[in-house]
Amino acid sequence: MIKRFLSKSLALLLAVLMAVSCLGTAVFAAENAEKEPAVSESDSTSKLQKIQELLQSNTYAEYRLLHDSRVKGTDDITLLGSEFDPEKTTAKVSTQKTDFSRKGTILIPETGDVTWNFEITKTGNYHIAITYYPIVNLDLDGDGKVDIRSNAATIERALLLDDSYPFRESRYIEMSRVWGESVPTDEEVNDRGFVLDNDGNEIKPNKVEAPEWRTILASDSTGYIVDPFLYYIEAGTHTLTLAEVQEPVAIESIRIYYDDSEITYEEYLAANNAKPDNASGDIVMLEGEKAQLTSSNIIYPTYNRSSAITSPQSAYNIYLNTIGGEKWETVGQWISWEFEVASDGYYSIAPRFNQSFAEGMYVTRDIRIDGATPFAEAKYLRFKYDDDWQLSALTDGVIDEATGEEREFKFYLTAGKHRMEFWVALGNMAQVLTDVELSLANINEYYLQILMLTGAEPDEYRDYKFGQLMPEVLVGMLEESEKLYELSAQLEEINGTKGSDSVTLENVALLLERMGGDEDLIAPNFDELKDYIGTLGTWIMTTRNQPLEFDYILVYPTSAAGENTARYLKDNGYRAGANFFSAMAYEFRQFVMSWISDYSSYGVRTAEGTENYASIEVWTTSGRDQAQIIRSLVSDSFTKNYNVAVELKLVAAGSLLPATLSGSGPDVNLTTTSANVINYAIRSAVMPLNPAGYVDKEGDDEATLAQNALCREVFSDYDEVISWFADAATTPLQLYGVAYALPETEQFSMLFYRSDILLQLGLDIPETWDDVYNMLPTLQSNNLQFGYHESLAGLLILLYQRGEQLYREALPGDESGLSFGMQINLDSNTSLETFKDLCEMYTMYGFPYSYSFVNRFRTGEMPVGVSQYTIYSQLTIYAPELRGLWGFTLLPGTVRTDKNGEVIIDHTADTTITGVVMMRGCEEIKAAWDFMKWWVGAETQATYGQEYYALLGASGQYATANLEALYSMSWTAEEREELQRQFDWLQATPEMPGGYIVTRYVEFAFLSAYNDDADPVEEMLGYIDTINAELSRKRSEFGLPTLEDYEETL
Amino acid sequence: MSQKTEAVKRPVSRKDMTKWQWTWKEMKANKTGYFLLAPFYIIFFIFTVLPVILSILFSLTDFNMLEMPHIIWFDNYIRLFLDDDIFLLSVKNTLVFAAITGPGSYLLSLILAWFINELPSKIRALMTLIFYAPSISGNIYLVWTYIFSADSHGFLNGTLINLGLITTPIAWLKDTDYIMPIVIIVALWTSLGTSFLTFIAGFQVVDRSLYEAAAVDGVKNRWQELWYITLPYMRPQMLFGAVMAITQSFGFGAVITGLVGFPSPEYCAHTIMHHLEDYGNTRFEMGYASTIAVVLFFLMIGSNMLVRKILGKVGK
Repeated sequence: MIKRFLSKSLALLLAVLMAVSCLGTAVFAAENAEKEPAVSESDSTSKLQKIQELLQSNTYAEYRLLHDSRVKGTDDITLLGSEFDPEKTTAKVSTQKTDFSRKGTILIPETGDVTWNFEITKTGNYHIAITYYPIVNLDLDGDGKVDIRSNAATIERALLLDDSYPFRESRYIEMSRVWGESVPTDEEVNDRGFVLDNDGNEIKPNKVEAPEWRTILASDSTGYIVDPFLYYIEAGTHTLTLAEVQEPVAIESIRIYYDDSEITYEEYLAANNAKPDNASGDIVMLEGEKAQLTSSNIIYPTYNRSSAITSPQSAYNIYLNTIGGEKWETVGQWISWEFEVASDGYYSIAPRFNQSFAEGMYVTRDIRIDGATPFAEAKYLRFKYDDDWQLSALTDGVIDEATGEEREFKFYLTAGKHRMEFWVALGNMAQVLTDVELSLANINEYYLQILMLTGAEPDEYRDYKFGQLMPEVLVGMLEESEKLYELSAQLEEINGTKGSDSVTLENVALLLERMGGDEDLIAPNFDELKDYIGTLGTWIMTTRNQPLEFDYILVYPTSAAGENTARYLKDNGYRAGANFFSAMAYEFRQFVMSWISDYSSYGVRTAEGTENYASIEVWTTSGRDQAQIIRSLVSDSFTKNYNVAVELKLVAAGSLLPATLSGSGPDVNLTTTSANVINYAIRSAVMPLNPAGYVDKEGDDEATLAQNALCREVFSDYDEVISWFADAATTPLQLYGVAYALPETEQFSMLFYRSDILLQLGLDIPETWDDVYNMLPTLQSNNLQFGYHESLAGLLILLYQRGEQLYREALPGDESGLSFGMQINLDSNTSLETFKDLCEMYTMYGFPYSYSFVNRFRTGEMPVGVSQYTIYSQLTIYAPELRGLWGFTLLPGTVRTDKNGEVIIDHTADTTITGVVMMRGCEEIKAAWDFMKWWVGAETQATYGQEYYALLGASGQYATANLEALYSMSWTAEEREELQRQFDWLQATPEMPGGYIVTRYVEFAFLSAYNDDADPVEEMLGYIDTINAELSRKRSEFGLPTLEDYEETL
Repeated sequence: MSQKTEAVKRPVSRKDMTKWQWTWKEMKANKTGYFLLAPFYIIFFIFTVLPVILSILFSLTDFNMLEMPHIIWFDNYIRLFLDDDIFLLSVKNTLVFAAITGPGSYLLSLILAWFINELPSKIRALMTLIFYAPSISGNIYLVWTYIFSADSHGFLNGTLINLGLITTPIAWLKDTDYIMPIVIIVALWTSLGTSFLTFIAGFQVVDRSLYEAAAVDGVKNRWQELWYITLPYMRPQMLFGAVMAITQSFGFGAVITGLVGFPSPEYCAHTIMHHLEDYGNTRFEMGYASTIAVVLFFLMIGSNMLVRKILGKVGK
């Protein structure tokens, strides 16, 4: 009896143990080491688990093979938003009524998941339609504060059925935002509705959100899968979850049904031929730039001065005459136009367009009229490549057998208003892209497998026995080679010519064929394979882009055009290219104007009455386009509100010093490095910005006293201003309590990791440096590396994490604090030990000294490493094949006891700052201070960040120091959270007179340790005196106390 | 030289006037010449002579570029020579560098020009372009940073690892053992500039009949031809080339910075130019930087005089 009881309880214990171990190693770790602090340890594991789930789920293609798509679901279920299941929902859903609310509307904030229950009676495939409304900063309780915050990014959710991803692509369901243009109220506009600058040029209107209710079918956000997703749902009860990714959204309803409304063009014609064709009226011309709505704030009216007859065009002034181009190239972006036809009947649509972007290829658009695709072929509209402008009716490129020419689509429209939306789509390229990306994923996999065996530089003369160790890789390479040859042929067929893009595929195929066919060729060609993987990635990136520029769109009765469309349009005055003489005249006028026009003043606008305004001069060293953005921001929201005119000058880097020297410097200088801020400050070239900088001294004359009093008053809100930034951001811009600049940009490092590789190797995301050391053997036995910063950058992170400082604290008894910075702290025990640890990372643990992080991260050679956080956008853009397979998080931390005796993991990162300074000699102190506050404020910085992004594409990540502005940029909820966590762990290095010497000697010491295996401690100690001597020398130059002054006390 | 005018009865003689009066008179008489000289002279004075004078003046102050300077007389010079180890190191580096690259690039230009001169004219034009290209293409020396990259995928490292000669990448441009030889090689590569072209031109203008005459007089081989005829005949070009080579070798700071960064590890390739830049740009001590500039100025004048002396001996 007792025995049975014992064995039962033992079994129970075992069961419990097993259950516990399922929760992950983290729980275990917490139990084992009580000393370890309880900092969200299961975090990294759960993050990886989520990705593992995603990785293990099928792709949509595999999913379709598993479930016969012919089985139509016959149910039609509409779930109202408000019918969500409150128990399973983790988001703070609000059902409060708003002015846009409809029946059943719920408001979902950015974070958290929402789950609905539903029942299906008939097993089959179903579409899922979501009716949503993009929330724009919503104040629910009317207290003037925003309760649901939104940013400009696309709304994104993950769609789960029964708590799991039915297939991988369901992780990325995008719901586009809706943007319109703000109507200028108090400014004069021309008859086209655009504001003019001083020279009569049209200025880009501001984009504002114009939300509306929209219904979308859940479909692939990359456009690789042209048709909307079909979800296979068995009879029974299920749950549907919309899980957090980014941006808040309002949901009215979710409809689960089978949508079979799509018909072919022939069916469409057959259905409409029965109806009367009374199409009549003149040609309706819609100017492209006068679009009604767009999906993105980066699609706005642009100007193209290449053709003489682009409407409107002038050699003298800039007219905003086109829309699109390289801003309208990503799948999911759309532009809509509204138009009216007089009577029912068939109408043709013919845009004048420029497709000189994708050489030798065509780009695709998907037209939706009044929100619906009229017929299936309308998803495959082709716009062929040509250097010149083209004008032709919409076509899908299929040859009409009757005429032997490409068929031109006609659309049956009823009398009245209509809306057409042109969506960026991939059309026939979708399948090719899907296949190439799949191939690339496989090739990457093979590359990694070989890399883990041979290392990055395999020995050509060694027999690795690939054939025995990894026969599947050899076979796989041959298979991929064959596939790529096929794809190349397919591509040729689609485009009609053999372009450079199909040759790229063939080159890769040839290499794979050789490597897979002869294992002796693997090692010598390994490097080349790596290059080709990069080439393939770039190929995918460029091929995915579908840029197209519209000048205008014509809508006319099909019957009026008759047989020859081009003829008809020409007769009515619409042509693709200008004739020789008008082109010549236009070019000549442009040439003459190039001597007269001042292009750099484009966009400069002096508002009425600004003559009485205070005027300040501002310098920036950024690019011309950036200056343009700043200029328009200034005229839009600064000059008017503050009554200050701003003269913004774009100057070459390094001109501030000579200008200041000769007394012709600016009032305010943007983006000044922290080292320069202090350099100027100690030489009294910039103004202190806080009242502490204006203390009256004995012997000051009247004028100085008055000036001090004035400045104390102007700068009295300094403390409030710096609360917009991380605490660390002001450190390097201050010297002994006096602030000399406002923070503008802020850079710091975070830990980037490849989830797929870590999972494959059974590793976790490292949370402490011990974790890093523990994962090194696994990484290195697979020939992989960990990336870190060398020299001072690497040292500072480690130093701060151990609670140590770079400079010695002020001496005890020194109340002024002026003795801080006299002495370097690198000779303390902790510092020396830290420096030794840093050097050993490179000498003992084999960290690579020099590398390109983005490249190695992409190939997987460096699956985890520390890098600047702004590299995020580069990876997003240049490594599309890695989507969802990587992330960034807090830096690995150091476990230590803090001041209060508590054990913490210190994740501190070192941060670098640039700032805005006010130069001494500025006469309009108040105006300049207003400008500085306005410029670093959340609203301006956020808008600038967005515009910057719009200008440079997603690779333009503006590293603003303003916290609110940074968080409002386009991050997923998870990424934003990681950033916020890192912001709690930032520390900056104070800039001290003579500080340049530290960087220099730390690097010297590090290099001797790295190159010559010198003892790090000895090397460092050897430089301490030199560093301190230079600090003293520099300090005595500025009358600051030096080490010698305190010799007796020490 | 002086012109007689109607107004002057008696011829004016030199000893009737003071030196300044005489100069003024002479200048007035030759005003056309001075007028024609003026554009160049004004520019030359403002942009060359004046800065030299200014930097000599600044070298006596503690000018920090943003505040009013104070005169501190010879403190800067005393500190430079007696209390600045890095300056002495930079003098050493500069001299080593100049001693190798100056004559090196000079001889290289000369020998290459001589060889190329022997080629048929079409090939000669092509070869001239190939050798001259590096010196006109701006920052082309930066290609060497790819070759000597510390990355294990860098050209040299990758090749050496592939050949099995090294196992871990070498930080070529950050390792004090390799920096000096590498920058000297690169400097030689880029140095075939103007002097090289002058030599080629110089070889072209040598009077052919002289060779015949020399052959009659007993010149036996090409070396003697070169030493006794060609080189003395093109002494002006050689002098020009030498001055260029020497000046260039002192001013290679930018190439070194472009390759190994600033400052070079442990100052192993720190030249006077770098020292000047360090104090002028990084530390904002213009007074001290001017002192360095003045020293460099005299060093260059000195070496130019030395070179003239040496070249005077060619063909003797």
